[in-house]
Amino acid sequence: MTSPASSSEVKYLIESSEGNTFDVSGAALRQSNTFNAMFLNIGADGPIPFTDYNEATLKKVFEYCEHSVNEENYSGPKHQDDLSKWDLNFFNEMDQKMFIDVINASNFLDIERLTSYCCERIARMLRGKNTQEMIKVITLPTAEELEAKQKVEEKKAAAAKKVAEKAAETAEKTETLEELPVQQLVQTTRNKLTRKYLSFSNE
Amino acid sequence: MKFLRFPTLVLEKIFENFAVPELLFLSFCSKRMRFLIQLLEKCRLKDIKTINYSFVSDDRVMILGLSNNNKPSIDLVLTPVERKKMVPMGLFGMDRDMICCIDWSSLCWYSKYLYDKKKKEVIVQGVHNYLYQFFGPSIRYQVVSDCDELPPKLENIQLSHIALTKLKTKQKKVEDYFKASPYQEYMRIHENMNGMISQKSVVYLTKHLEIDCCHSFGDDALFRFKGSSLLLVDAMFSDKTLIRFLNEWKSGTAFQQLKHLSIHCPSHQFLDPSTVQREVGMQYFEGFLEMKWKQWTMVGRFQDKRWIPRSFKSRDYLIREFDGAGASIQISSTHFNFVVWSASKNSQHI
Repeated sequence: MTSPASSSEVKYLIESSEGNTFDVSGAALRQSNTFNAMFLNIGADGPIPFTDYNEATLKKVFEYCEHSVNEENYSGPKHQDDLSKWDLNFFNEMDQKMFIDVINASNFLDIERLTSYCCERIARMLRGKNTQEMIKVITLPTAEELEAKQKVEEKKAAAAKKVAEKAAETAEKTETLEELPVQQLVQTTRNKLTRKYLSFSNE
Repeated sequence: MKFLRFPTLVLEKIFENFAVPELLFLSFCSKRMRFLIQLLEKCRLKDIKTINYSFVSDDRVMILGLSNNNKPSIDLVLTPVERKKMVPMGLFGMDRDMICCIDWSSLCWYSKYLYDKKKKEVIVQGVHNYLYQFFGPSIRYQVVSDCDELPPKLENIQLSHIALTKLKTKQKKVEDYFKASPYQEYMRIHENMNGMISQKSVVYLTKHLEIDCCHSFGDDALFRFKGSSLLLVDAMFSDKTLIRFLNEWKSGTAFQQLKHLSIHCPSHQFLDPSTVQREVGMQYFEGFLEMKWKQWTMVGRFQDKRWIPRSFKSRDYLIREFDGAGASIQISSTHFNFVVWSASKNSQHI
């Protein structure tokens, strides 16, 4: 493993959700603001766990970081038309699932450049489409699906209400049971005290 | 792609790539999408201060969203076409049978809409209701119409500029139109006072009213007005009317809400200042008092403020008997200005 004050050639070990580890250069990793905030100053003793993301996704994300190590500092989003051939290939060779995983990982790792390119790509997917086409691209639930979901939620809420009412009823019953002996106790003590008082006064 | 499952930060960055009219179009996808846009793009949506609906004679409707710096953030055009030429879409939260669709032939496709002319009233109402929900009640909605028919009845309109002179409509319809958005903040009307506005019209309850009387007598408008500032342009007035007005104000029997009154008569000599001054018992300062006030107007492409600064210098004044409120008066043969001192900004003796 590495020391916190590492040069760009120093490698860090990254652990994926499968438990696999692989190397990433310090320079590439430093593009992640999350890494900078968490590990750069304090260092890491073992592999850095990014266990919410699989190996393929993390490798893809760090492939981008490795490539953009020598690029100038990020200064706001670049138009997709200005992307290099390598960048375009990088995005084109991903299937949709991988693309979504990369966005989420990039967002978690806070890699500004990659996240904003991905977001601009999504915006381009939606531009110039009518509402029906847009709904298909972003797979929004249809009105029927929403209705069905609402019905399920209503049923769940009704069931939960019933359970809560039953629980309240049983709680009331136990309360009255618990109250009885206390009342009896108070009564008997009161009787005893009255008897004592009477015997004193007779004496 | 399960769009709505993206983290908020990602959604925010996606929305950043869209212009406001594109976001509006995106919001048609679903209610959740609309809520998300409203939530995450609050700052950009809040930047819009005015939505202006312009109705022109060829049935086109221009919708302009203006921000504080007067830069149009939204510039939508609704163009009427025949029903056959349109593919129905569920836009502006309306059913698909409310024929309204995008004009794909335009470069700014997200700003050009086509609508079924026969359903103009319902569609424009639907569009306005959607925009009102989308941008919220905190911004001002205004209507400008110069057509020979009344614009569609819209609710929650705060400012209007309506020409009634070309209308061939009955008084009741005009009143029904104004009742859809009563108690407006500002209204400018072109009307030759031939009875298009009823005697008890809600128009007279407008806070700041401006009527272009088109060379007709403005007495009706003056004596029925209940708001705080009234401007009558191209209005004919007699000395008697002004004397009655000033005496009623002085005695406190009417016009207690009134702060400003300006009358611009046509270019003939209508008024005789000395008669008016004598009849109302005008009082005079030794020097001049400069009165400054704000005259209301509407925000537009070339008008970034809702008011125009106005001022006049006068020695004439009156004091209201029951509360001691004072007002400066300027009167010439074609102009009459009346400003209550409490409503004047930075008035000063000269």
